[in-house]
Amino acid sequence: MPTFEIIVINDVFESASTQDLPDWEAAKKAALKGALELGVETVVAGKAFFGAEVIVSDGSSHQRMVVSIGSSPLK
Amino acid sequence: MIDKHLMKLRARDVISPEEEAVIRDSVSEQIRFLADDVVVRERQKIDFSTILVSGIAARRKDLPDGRRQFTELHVPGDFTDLHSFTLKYLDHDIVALCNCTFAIVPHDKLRRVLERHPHLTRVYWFGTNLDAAIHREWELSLGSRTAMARMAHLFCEMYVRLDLVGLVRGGTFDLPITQEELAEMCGITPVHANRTLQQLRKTGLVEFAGGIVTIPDFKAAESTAEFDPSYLYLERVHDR
Repeated sequence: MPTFEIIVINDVFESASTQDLPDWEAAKKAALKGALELGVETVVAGKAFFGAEVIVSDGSSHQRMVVSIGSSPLK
Repeated sequence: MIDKHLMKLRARDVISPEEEAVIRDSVSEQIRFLADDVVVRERQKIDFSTILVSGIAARRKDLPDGRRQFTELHVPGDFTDLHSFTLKYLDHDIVALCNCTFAIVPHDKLRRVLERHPHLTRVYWFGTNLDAAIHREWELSLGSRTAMARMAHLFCEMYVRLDLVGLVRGGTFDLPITQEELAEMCGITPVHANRTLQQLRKTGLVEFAGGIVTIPDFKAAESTAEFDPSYLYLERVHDR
């Protein structure tokens, strides 16, 4: 069963999920959605930047991705 | 069998001994369901309603791709599907979130109760209105509250509703649901639910572990949740 892990950069939060996900694509989608939700909430709450490392694996292979959301004023 | 139901009714109205006897007599049998069982399936024709005797149940709607949304939780004493009396089938499932016991009230018996006891008709009409008020509050949470306020609000609501039927002990109550189900109630991903729970724990507002919720300081949780219990209509009104 594919699993995913989300490690928030510069934060103590780390989440590993072993939800009942049918395939690799579903795990990737769930992982990205989770990370994006955290990022949106973080930036809306006033932090300028959110970054997380997302790792999807199924035992034999794994893929690492980065999810980042930021907001900065234009000059 | 339906003591919690009577306790819930009596918290908000005066139920006479005669009315109590009529309510007790309307129950035909008691049925047990296991965790994750669907008690009443969406669009299933039904000729009975169910009172939750023990456990936690929920109303849930599913999308074809498997995504789900819980729309209300039920605590012991609740009529989980009183609205099926007039609707004849439900537009959602009733699911058992843990091992549950339900009292079955056949609609023909319910019809006799309502026709002969106008006060009980109003009492049960109030019950369906209360469910609608809870749905509206959940909608407000889903549409407008932050994940932390949304989750804290849900825990505060369960605290108040379970306390009404004597199931809160020293700020602690049983809520035998998974983090994934909690996420589906709050309309967030399981990852987000996990982080939100960690934030609630870190701030000392709510502890949720092993299906047990502890709210050490209800006032503080209430403030974070923007929880105003007026939508639960807790005042006791004589002869509604």
